[in-house]
Amino acid sequence: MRLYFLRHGVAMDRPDWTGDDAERPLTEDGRERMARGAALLARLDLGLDTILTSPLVRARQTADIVVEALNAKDRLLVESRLGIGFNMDQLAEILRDHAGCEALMLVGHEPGFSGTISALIGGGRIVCKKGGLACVKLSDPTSLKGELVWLIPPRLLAR
Amino acid sequence: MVATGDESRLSSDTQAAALVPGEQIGLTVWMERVKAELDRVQQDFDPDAIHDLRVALRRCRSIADIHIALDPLAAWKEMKKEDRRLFKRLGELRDTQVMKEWIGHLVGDQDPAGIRLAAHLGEREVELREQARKALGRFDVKKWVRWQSRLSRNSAPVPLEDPVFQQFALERWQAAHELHHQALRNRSRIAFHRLRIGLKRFRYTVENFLPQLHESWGKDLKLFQDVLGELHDLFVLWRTALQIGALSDRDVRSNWRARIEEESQARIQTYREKAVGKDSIWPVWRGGLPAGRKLEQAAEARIHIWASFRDPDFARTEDIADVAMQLFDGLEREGIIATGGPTDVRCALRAAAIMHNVGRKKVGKSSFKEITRVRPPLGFFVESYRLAALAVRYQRGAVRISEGKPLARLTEEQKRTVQLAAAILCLADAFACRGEERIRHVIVSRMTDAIVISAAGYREAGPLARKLATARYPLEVVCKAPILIRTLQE
Repeated sequence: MRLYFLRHGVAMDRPDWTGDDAERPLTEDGRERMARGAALLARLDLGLDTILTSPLVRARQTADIVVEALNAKDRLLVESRLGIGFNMDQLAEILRDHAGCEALMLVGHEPGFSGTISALIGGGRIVCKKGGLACVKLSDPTSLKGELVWLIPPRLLAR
Repeated sequence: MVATGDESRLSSDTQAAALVPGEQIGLTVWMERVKAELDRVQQDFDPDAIHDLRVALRRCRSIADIHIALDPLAAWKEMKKEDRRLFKRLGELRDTQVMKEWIGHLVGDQDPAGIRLAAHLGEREVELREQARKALGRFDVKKWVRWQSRLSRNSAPVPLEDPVFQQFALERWQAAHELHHQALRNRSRIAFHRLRIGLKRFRYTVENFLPQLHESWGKDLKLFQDVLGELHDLFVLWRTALQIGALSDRDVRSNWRARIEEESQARIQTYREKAVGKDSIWPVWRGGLPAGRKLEQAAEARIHIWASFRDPDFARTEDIADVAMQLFDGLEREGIIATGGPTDVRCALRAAAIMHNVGRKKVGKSSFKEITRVRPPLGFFVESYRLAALAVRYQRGAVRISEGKPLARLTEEQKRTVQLAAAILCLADAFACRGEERIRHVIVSRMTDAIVISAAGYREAGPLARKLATARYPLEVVCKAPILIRTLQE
C-alpha cells in the first residue's frame, strides 16, 4: 500500500484569524499554489483509490482543490481522525478501515504528519511543509512499517 | 461513489433469457431487445426491468467494442455514445437498489447504521430514478433503428466462431490473466475490481462471438463475475457508509468492518478455489483458444479483415497479394533471394500486400500512418508488422529506401527485407493493373545473368509492358540482376 501525506496549503496566520481555528481558511496565495501543485499531482497519475481529509477547513479546501484537479470527487471522504492530534494509533484505525486500498492520500496537519511518517519509517526527522507531499510505501498495512519513497517540498510541487 | 452494475447480483432472479445458439446471439437480436426493454422500463422502473435493459445495452456495447477494432464505420462509436449516458444512469440506479438489499443481508433491519444508510440510499434512488427517466427520454430510438440496420450489415462478414474472434478472446484472456496475477499479488479491492472488469471483457467476447466455447465456460465465467461483483459491492457499500458518516460509532464501525470483511473473504475464497492451483480454470480457457500456427493464422485473418474495411478496392488488393506471394516464392525457390535469417520476410510481405492500400488516399505515407496507429494483433510478430508498415510506406519509392528516416534504427537485414517487400509490392501492383491485361499468375525462373518472370496473359508489346518497365526496376536493384518479363507459354 502507498500512503501519500499531503499537508494542507498556506492558511491564514493564527494571529490574523479571530474565529475558531478549525475554520481557518487557506489564503489566496495558498489556494493558487495548491492548484499548481494539484495540476502536477494529476500528471503524476498516482492511482489514488481514496482521498481522506481532515475536517478542518484548511485541509478540506486543500483536498477540494486536489480532487478537482484529479477528477476524483467521488473518492473523497472526510476523516475526523486526521484532525489535530493525528498519530500512529489513528493511522492504524484508518488503515483498518481502508485495508482494500492500494493508494491512499491523507490530507492533514503538522506536527501529526511528520511524527507519524517518522514513526512509520523507523525514526529520523521529517519536515513536512505546508503544501508538501510525502509518499510512504507500506509492505504490509498491519505492521505499520514502511519506507519513505519521496518527499516533495511545496516549492517544487507548486512550480 | 456508486459502482457500475453487473448482470446478476445478490438477489436478482431475472437473467437474460437462456441463449439458443444461432438464435439469440447477434447484434440485431440485442438491438431489438433494447427497444423492447426500453418500453418495459418506461412503464415501470422495476429493478428486474432495469436489469434486463442494462443486459441488452451491455451486449450491444460489447459487440460494438470488437467491431470498432476492425471496422472504422463511425456508427459503431456513435451507437456506443448514444447509450452511454442511459447505461450509466441505469447502472447507478441499479447499484443503489442492490446496496439496499445488501444491508439487510449484512446486518439485518434493526442496525442503526443500516437504517441510516438505507434512508440515504432511498433518497438517492429517487434522484437517480429521475435522472434515469430523463436519460430514457433523451434516448433516440429512430437513430437506434437506423444503426441497427447498418451495423448488422457491417457485422455480417465475420461469422460467429471465426478465428478472428478467437484471437480477440485470447487477447482479452491474456489481459485478464495478468490482472488475476496482480489481484493475487496486491490483494487489494481495487486490484480485484480491475480483474472483474478484465474478466467481463473476456466473458462478453466469448459469450457474443464464440457460443460453442461459451456453452462450456459460461458457468465459471458467470461465477467469477458474480463473486467479484459482490466483492466490489461490499467495498462500495462500506465506502458509502463512511461517506455519509453512518459509522461514526466505533463499535458499530467495528461490527460492520468485521461483517464486510467476512463476506469479502468468502468471495475471494470462492474465486481462489476455482482460479488458483492445479485445478485452476485459467489454463483450461487458454487451452481452448488458438496457439502456435493457428494463432498466427488468426492474427493474419484479423489483419485481413481490418484492411478489407479500409481498402477502397480490396478485391484488387487480394490479387496483388496473390501475385506478390507468387513472385516471392519464385525468387526464393530459384535461390535469387536469401531467406532463413531471423526476420520472417514472407510474413512481412504478405501483411504489407494486404494492407498496402488502406486509407482514403492512395499514397504510401497515409497507409503507413493508418497501419502504425494500431498495435499488431497478438500472434503477429511485432517486427514483421513494423517491417510490413515500412514496406507499405516505400512501395512507390523503393529505390530510395536507404535514405528514409524511419529506417534509421533498422538492422541491415531488416532494411533489405523492407526494400525487397516494397520492390515486390511495386511490381505486383503493376501486374494487377485494372482492365483486360491484369495478370494473376506468374512463374519466376533464372537465366545465367537475368531473372525471367513469365506472366500468364501478358502481351510483350502491350501498354502494360511500359508500366512494368518502370515497376520492375526496384526489384532489379534488390536482386542485382535485370528482370525480363515474358508471356507464359501455357
